[in-house]
Amino acid sequence: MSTVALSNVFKIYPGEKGADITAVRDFNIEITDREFVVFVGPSGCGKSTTLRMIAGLEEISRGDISIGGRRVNDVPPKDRDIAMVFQNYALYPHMSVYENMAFGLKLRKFPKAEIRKRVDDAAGILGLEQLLDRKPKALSGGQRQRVALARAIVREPKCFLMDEPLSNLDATLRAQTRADIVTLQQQLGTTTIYVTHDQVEAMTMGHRIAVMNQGVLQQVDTPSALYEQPANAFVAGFIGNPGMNLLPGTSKQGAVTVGNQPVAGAASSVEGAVLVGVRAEDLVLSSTGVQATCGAIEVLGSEVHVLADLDGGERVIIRQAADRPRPTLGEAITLELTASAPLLFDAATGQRCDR
Amino acid sequence: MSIAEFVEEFEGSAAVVRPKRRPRRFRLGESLLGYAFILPALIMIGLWAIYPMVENFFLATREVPPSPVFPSRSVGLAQFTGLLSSQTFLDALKGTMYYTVMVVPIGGALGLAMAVFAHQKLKGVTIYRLIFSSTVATSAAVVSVIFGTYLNPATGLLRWLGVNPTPPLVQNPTWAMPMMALVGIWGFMGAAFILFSAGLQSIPDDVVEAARIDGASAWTIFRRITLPLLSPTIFFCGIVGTSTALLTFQQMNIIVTAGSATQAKVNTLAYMIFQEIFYNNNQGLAACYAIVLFGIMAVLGIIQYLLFSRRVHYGN
Repeated sequence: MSTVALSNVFKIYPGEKGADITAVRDFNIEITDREFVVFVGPSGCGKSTTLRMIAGLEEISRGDISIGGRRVNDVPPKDRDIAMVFQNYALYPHMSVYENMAFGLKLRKFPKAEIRKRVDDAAGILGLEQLLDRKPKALSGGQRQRVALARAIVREPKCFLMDEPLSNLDATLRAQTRADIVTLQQQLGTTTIYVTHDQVEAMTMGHRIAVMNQGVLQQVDTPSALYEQPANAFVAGFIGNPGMNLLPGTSKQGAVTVGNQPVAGAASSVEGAVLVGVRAEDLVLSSTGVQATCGAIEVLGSEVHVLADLDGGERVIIRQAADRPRPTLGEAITLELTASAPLLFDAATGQRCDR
Repeated sequence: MSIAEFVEEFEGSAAVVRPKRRPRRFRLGESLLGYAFILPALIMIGLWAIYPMVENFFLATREVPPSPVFPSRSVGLAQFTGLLSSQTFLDALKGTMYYTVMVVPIGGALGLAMAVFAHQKLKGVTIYRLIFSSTVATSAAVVSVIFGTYLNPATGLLRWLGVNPTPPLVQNPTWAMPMMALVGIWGFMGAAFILFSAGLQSIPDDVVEAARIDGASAWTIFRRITLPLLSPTIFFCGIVGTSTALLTFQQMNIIVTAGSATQAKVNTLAYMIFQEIFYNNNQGLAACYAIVLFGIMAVLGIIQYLLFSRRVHYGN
């Protein structure tokens, strides 16, 4: 159990003709002991690369990484005292479940009795007692994932690194394993860094979430803070299901309008083009407001998402209860913003600009 | 053996994992159609494999005079039993075994070592891959001429290097066969390199990374992860290498002077078949050798299968 700190970490891949590719840019984070932090972002945002740098599988181009207060830049993976869970499980196909779990302990010259005890304990926690003699080939996807987790916990490392461990499971199993991992992490209290592209996983699992985009860390905060106070337009649009609607508006002397309609409660610190951030539940179909066309309707059972196209072509989502009257496709509709204080983002920089 | 043949056999080896067959009712029309589909293949196999095999067996039971003017006569199994007391045959058998035992493990190990080297992400590694695999694309005859030139006492590499063993290596009864094996090793390591390169590509990176994090050194990863996961390739390489090695006689025929004293020292069963047919015109005896060689190949194949099949891990 330990802290993990990244300061000014860069990952630069040498490109052709000196055109280097910066996969991770100036990444800073302090992860405290026993914390569960989720790195989330769209694919190619650098989250897995960052995790692999912490693991020691990728070299760090610049900056420092420390685990438990020790700088580990030049420490090989095996001496970093971390355990990693891979997306494709990465089980040793020629070894039984028991051997898979015991491999790391054997290499670290643990006594046989201690290995047996630790493997049995981990197998008990993850319900693998009956499968210890099987080869990975004879296991289901969910079972393989549990073996991968068990292999990580037997070593009692300082830190767990998990790289999209649930993306190969079906939806039901994923939701269940998600909860299992959270419980496991609470029980063990091991500092955990979890990488996912799924913001639902991020919201439900992490104590804190680090949102990344294009190699740059956008914001680190608790799930509710990210949801309510996104630092920029990217985080606003990425976090939440659906993400926040961003309506193009104009700010004149602080007062904001969208489609010539004044936005109540909005006060901008910049002049000119802004984006007005409104959650789907804070938009209602009304007789006055912003003009739009109904583009699609998604019925989700208890609620309905109305996908509306604004005059400028932007698509916004309105969440309403299933018993409310629904517009028909192509019908002209009017949207009213009911948020008491909508968030404002500078259209040029994407940064928050509400006062 | 050409690359195409290798690829063909390599793909064939995937058929080791067979789905379980469900019992089903026999339907005449359907099975006739099935036979119709495999008929062309059956005809080919029948004409070029089954028929020659049967004919070969009958040939082996006959004593064929060197001239077609005289009729052959049936001698039963006498030619087979005669082999047991023939020193030439026993020497050829020993030579064949020596050659196979040298070429397959050493050539295979060198091929594996080169494959591991070329598997790394290094600059210009493609050039190495090309060089390493080039021995496969070179025909046995060409290889023999090249090595024959190198080993030539008057114009060869050794003389150029200032080493001049007397008698010359290929005329030395002790060194002639090791030189033949050297040619074989050179040829086989390229084939092994290609096979092992393909095998290494199929080992997932994350399994190796997991082992690195688990605390394995590079050598431990090779021994405990790479080698076990390469076992299907090792098995296949052993089978193909052995059957190729057992059939070798090209370099013996090209490099060593026919009729010389050293020729007897580089004799193999395949070479004897060749000699009996083309030098001695004794087709009956040649057929007899062919059957013995076939028997040896079959037995070695079965032994290898029994030895390895339980240790071979087929991945997911």
